[in-house]
Amino acid sequence: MNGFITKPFTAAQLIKGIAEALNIALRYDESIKSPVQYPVMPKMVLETDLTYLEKFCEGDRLRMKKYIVMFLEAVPGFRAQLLNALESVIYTQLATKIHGFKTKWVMMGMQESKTLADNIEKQCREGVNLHEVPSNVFKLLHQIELALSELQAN
Amino acid sequence: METGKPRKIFIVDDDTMLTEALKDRITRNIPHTVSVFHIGEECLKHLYDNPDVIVLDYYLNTVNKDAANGMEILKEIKKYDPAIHVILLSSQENYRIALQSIQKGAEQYVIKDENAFEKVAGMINGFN
Repeated sequence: MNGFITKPFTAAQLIKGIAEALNIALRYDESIKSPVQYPVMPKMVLETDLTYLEKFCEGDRLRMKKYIVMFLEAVPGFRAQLLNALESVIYTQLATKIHGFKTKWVMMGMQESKTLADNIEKQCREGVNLHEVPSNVFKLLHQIELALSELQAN
Repeated sequence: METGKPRKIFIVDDDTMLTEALKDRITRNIPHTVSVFHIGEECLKHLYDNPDVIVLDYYLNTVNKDAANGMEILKEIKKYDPAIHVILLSSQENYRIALQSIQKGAEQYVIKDENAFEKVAGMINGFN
């Protein structure tokens, strides 16, 4: 047990209890009862932004779902191909596989991944900063995992 | 409102999401007949079907590493019938590739970005 609050409790007491358990600083004066002020939480930055997809599909949820499912289904194969190319140190193959995913970044609104993927492709094709390629690939795969969680939650 | 006459269109790209999205977009308002090919060689085998427009990717080897690239396919298409309109897709603003594609007979060179689908739809409707 990380703490307790006796019933009946107010919203402010509950928030204070949670904040103490999570060791999060509160930015409000405890003497102020109302309005309730919430703990300062780190800003969530999402990997995906479906604004473009929604516009492209004219708000049709079924069509949007079709593209999201295509993305979700493509990821396991893509991940395996990248790891295989990385393990075999075949940079041209790595560049080609990454290139084939371009439309998916656009459709899923994964701007950060698109920029990173473009950079990896350039490094592989031009043979520059090849020592950065493995860490960049793992970073890309991590972003994809986060995107998968977001899309599956939707 | 988008206007234009229905045409026979080939889309040649090994990215299934791109082919699906492009087909979705260009048939949204006009009932074009669309055939999709994931390698250029398959497209060449179907040229007897007389397409009006071919939308062709530059890199066609992301799935099949031995597949011919878009430039080689473009050359064969124009050899078969110079009247077929060809729009070449590419993922990067590469002046050399753009110039080569125009020299080999592509009417248009489109960068694969957020605006690509709209651009291609507009070009298809604009062809005589």
